[in-house]
Order: sequence, then structure tokens, then C-alpha cells
Amino acid sequence: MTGKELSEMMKDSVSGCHRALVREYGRYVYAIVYNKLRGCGTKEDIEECVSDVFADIFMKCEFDISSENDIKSLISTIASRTAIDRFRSLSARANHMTETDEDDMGELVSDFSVDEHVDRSELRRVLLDKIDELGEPDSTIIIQKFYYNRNSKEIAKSVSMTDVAVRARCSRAISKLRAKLVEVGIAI
Amino acid sequence: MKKENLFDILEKAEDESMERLVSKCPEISDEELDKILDMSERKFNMKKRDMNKNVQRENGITVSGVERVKRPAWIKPFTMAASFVLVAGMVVGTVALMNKGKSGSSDTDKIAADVFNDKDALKALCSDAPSHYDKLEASCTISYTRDDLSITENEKVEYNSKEKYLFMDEREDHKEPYNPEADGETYFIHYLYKNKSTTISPDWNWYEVDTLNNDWDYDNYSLIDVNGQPFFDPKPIFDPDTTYLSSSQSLLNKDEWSITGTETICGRECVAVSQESDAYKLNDYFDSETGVLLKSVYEDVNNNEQTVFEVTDIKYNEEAHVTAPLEFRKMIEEAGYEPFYPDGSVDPKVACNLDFLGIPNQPFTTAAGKKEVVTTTTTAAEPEDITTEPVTTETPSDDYDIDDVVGQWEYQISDGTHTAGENPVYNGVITIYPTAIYEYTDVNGNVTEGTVRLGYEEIAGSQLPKVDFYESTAWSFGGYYNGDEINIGNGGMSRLVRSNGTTSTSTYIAGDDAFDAVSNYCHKKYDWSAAKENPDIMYVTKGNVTDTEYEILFRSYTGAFVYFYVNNQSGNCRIMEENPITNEMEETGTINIFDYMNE
Repeated sequence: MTGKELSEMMKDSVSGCHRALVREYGRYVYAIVYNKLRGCGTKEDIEECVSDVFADIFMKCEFDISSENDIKSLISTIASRTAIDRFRSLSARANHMTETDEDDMGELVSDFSVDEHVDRSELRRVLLDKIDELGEPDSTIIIQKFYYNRNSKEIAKSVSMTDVAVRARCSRAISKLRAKLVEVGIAI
Repeated sequence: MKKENLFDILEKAEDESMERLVSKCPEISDEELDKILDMSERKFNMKKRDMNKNVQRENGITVSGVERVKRPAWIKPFTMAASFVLVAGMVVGTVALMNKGKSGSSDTDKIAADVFNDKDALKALCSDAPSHYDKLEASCTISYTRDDLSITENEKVEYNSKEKYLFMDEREDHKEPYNPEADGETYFIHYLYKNKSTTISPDWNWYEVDTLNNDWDYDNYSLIDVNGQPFFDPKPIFDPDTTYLSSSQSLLNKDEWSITGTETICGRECVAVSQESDAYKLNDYFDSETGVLLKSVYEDVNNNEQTVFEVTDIKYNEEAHVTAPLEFRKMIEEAGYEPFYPDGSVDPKVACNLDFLGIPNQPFTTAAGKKEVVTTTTTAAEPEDITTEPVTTETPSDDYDIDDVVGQWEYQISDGTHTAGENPVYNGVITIYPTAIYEYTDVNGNVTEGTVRLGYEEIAGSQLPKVDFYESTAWSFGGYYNGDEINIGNGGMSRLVRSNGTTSTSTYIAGDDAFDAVSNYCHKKYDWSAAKENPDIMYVTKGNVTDTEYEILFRSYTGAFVYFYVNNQSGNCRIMEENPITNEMEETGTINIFDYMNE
């Protein structure tokens, strides 16, 4: 979606335009915000921040949007900036607790050792590569379970399986992932 | 160095990694998006109003008064209703908890009822399927079909519901056109026994042992169904306390399913059950005699079959072969799989110690050169925190083995004034099994278990036979063996004494005696002339040991195997051979090994 298309939509219906934006980019914004707040925010904090992002985007649409360019990068920038601000304020709060999955994450994924000097972005890339190599639905199950902290029942909906099947596949997938990571020198 | 969860590394991802995470982001429902939209619009309107105020202020326009917000009239009844739902939920939950356990006997009584028409009877049958068989051996297929994905799994499952050991051989063929990296076949073998889960990866040539909690059912419930299908031990997933209830556990809430008819699968008469929701349709087929799920078809809203689970062959009880613990150990050691434990903080050989599967009386021969065979010695690497364990050395001996200590032992301790021998205080019972596993039931009825190892300790130039008890890989305690006593320590503070009347020496047949007798029989019955030139071509060897039987194998010069199953009390022995046409094991005769002893 470009800025110009958005302007046209705004002329027809402001609320229709807002709705279209949220439907189109809601998941995208959520993923960006989640990535920043995963370690310090609750579900409500994340939802709150996502709504802040869209409120800013609506403001942008109202007064300053006419570019021919795709607005995705603009949305990404607003989402990252807003999430970082929220991260700072949440981190400043004392005794903040995060929620954990009801499933026994600890049994499946142990701590791992990371040298501070290792390039984290390279590690990130390798980890995602190895998860992708698991194929579907395992890669989605692993990411949603251990990164997005979704429980088996929630994941089951998105991969069209029963939640017990999700749990069974997950425990097998984590074995495979561990072996793949060990092959490239990452011990978990 | 710092410790963190591996998946934390994905936080603060930059562009490319972020895009990949976005693609795996869970779906957000329209309702959730509408909620976000409402919040966003509210904030947007506030921002806009603030901005207009600022503009007005800059232009010298003032606004006074307070904006009154009227509370909608429906709020009060709505919040009352919500509170009622919450309270009602708590009451219903409490009543359910109070009633829990009261209906067990009546459910069991209904098993004999008409499972083809009576939902309660079917539910009772299926919720405790393993009580209707001792052994199960089955092959099954599971296929997942999506628009851009196809997975086919072939599984071999063997389950001993009484002894609680489970063998699973899983091969998966994965096809994903848009992700060729994921294409291919994977192969894993799982074995669940005691509180251990062992996985073999033939592809990577490793095996891994995970120590679980002490609840076999709970620990293993995700594996004891076959990929999510409540195949053979559904009891844990019928527990209303578990948080892992699945829609596929279709029988749990009997208002949500209906009996639709019968169908024959693998020659077994099944009860067909159907369940529908707005997202899927599930058709399950349960064995009408055992309650085992033999087929399950999961369809999406467009009636596309997405997941199909089907048993292609099933045998129960005498007809079923279930890989015994020692047989599984043999499989690992003969193949030469390497122990695998990726966390470098422990020695893989210690973490993946196979002694819990039983200790072979003799090394498994074919791969002995490839891999160190764990024997009864306790000088092998042990966890570093065992500092009080005395050094016990292995001294091979023909006259002291596990058969000597098998049986029930009373654990006696000192009363504080006298020795345990003078005035024993009862401290529980220890049962030692031929598989070198022991169970200790303390005075409060708590049961712990572990492995037993035999060895010798040299004291003042004498070799004293010693019995060591291990919990997992950690040494727990040990004592000096002296016939009907095992003295723990030198001070007489505690000891094990054979339980009254339960000593096994009178009727118990030792493993070596059974082996010798079967060997005598084989030398009498078969022509060994081919073995004169090549002694390795024919042999008799020990197989698995259960609490009641010894398995002994004879290999003919033709390569065929004959299996002897010797009852360790009566001496009766079944002789089993593989039918070369059907490849099925058949009983070809019986002997009593007392007829072949001392020859």
C-alpha cells in the first residue's frame, strides 16, 4: 500500500482507512513490537504499544502522507521507535515480571552459553536458518512456542492440528533443532 | 559469558531476521484487531484533540468547562453478568474437583456394557485402554496434507502396558515445495522406560538419554500418543486437571460427540465417533474391545482431509513382540551409536548411561570392538559430585552375579543404641529384579528406584562381594553381600535382610543355569559339525531378561535364530522360530530345562 493510495482511501472514509490499515499491517506491527518488548512487557503492554503505533500512523495519515512509496517501511520505523520508547519505560519499572508459557519450556530448552563478543545478529541468522530447515509445520510451531510464547492450543489453530499433535511434533522438532545447532557449534 | 534462553537471541532483530519472524507471527483474529483498532482510534482522537487545543491556544482561543462522559446504561448489568459467570465457573470447578474420583468404579463397570450405543461405556473403555491388554505391537501411518506441504510418517510402536516400556520407530518423509531445505526423510527411535526417555538418531549416529520426572504417564504422554493421536495410553490426557486437553480427545466431553456406526480396521471391529466444530470435523474409530484408537481423520471446514492417522497392523498380548529394555540396550551397543548430550557441562557417557535398561551378563558381541561396553564395574566415570562413593572394582567371577541378590530384602536400621542386627528397626523393603533394577519402598510407602551394580572391594587383602545401589547415575548406598544379608557400612547401623519366606533360592532358576540347560539342549538337538571349521557360525547366547523369563538365542549355521523363553520358576521353556514364509514368530515346541541341567 502506498501513501497515495492511503490518501485516496482517507477521502472516502477515515474510519474505513484506519480499519484497512490495522487489518493489513496489524500482524506486522505486532511482530515488531513483540520483538522489542518480549523480554519486559506483558501481553497488555504489547497491545497497548501496538495501539500507540497505529494512533501515530493515523496521525501521519491525517496530516502528512502523500508519498508514492510503500508505507511499510514508514510503519516499520514508527513501530520500532515506539516500541523502543516503551521498552525504556517498562525496563525502568522495578519488579517487572514476564509471563511464561504454560507448557514446560524449561524442559525443552535449556540455557545456552553465548560469548558476549559473538555477533548476535549472525547467531540470530543461523538459528533462524536451522529452524527453517525443520520445515513446516515444525518451524512455525517452534517459533510460536519458544519465541512468541504461545501455548499448544493457540498454535494448533494456526497450523490446523490438534494441540496434542502440536506438542508431540514440538518435542521431536526440538530434538532435531538441537542436533542441527550442535552441528554448527551451538550447544543448548 | 552469560546464560540466557536460546530464543532470547531473536530479540532486537534487525531487518532480514525481523521479516522472518513476522512470517511466523501467530495469526491475530479479527476480534483482536478490532480491539487494537478501537484503542488506536481513541488514542488518535485524543492526540488530535490535544493538537487542536494547542492550535487554538496558539491562536488565542480558550475553551472552558468539563466534558461530561455518560456511563452507558448497559455497563452495570454487563459487569454483574460477567461476575456471575466468573463465580459460576468457580463453583462448577469446585464441585467438579470435589466429585473427582468418585465415579471411577461405576465407569469401570460400564466397560462391559454396549460400547456401540452407550457413550458412557465407550468413554470408560477408551479412557483406560491399556488395562485391556498387556502388550501391543502396531504399525501405523500419519499423513499431514496442506496446500504447500505433505508429510507422511510411518511408525512402528511396541508397548508393554504392565511393565511400562515403549518402543517407537519413526520415519518421516517431508515434502515442502517452497522450502527444499526441509525436504527429506528423518528417522528417530524412541524408548521410554522407567523415568528415562531415550532417543536414537540413526541418521546422526547418536543416542540421547533424558531423565524425566517420576511420573511415567505424565512425562511421556506427548509421546505415548502417536503424534497427537491418543493411540494407546490416553489416561493422562483424560485427566481433567491437565492443561493439554486436545480437541482430538474427542470423548472427554460426551456432549460434543456422537457414535455414528461401526467400521472394521485391521480386522478389528471399531466404534465410529464423530465430532464437529466451526473449525474442523473429526472422525475417530476405537477398537471396541480395547478402546485403542485405530483411525482418526481430521478435516478442515471445507471437508479436506488434513490429518489422517491409521493403524495398518496391530497385535495384542501373546502375538505382540515388545522390545525389552535389555534388547534395546543391545540394539544401541551393537550399532555403535555414540552418546549425545549437547550441553557440554556433563560427560555424555555419564548422562547417557544405559544401566537403567539392565546390565548384560556378557558383552554384546558383534560391535564390541567398536564401542566400550558398560559392565558391572563401578569405576567407570561417575558424576563429579559423588564424593562419598567407595571405590568398587570389577572382578569377573562366575560364582557371584545378579541372580544371587534378586528378590525382596527388608531394610533394617539401628534403634540408636543397638546394631541393626541386635534390635532391627524396619525401614522399608527393597526388591531387586533380574534386570538389575531395584525398587525401594520406604516406611511411608514412597517408592524410589534405580540400578544395582555388583563388584568387589578389597579389604585387608580379601575381596569382599559388594552391592551398590544407584539412583539414576548417582551412587546412593552400598553394602557387603553375605548370603542372606547385605551389610551397609561397617558399624552395623543398617543392613538388608532377605524377607521371610520370600527368598528365591529354593525355586528360582539362575540365568546361568537356564543358559547352560538350553545350551545342552541345543548341542543335543542340532548338528554342530559346521561349527567345527568356523566356531562363530553357530552359538547360543543370552537375550533379554524379564522378571519371569530368560530369553536365550540359538543361531544355526543357516543364520536362522531359535528363541528359547525359560520361566525362571517352573523351568518350562517355549521354543519360538520365525516362519520363513510369513516372517512371523511361531511356537515350535516346549521343553523343561530341568531335563537338561547337569548334563
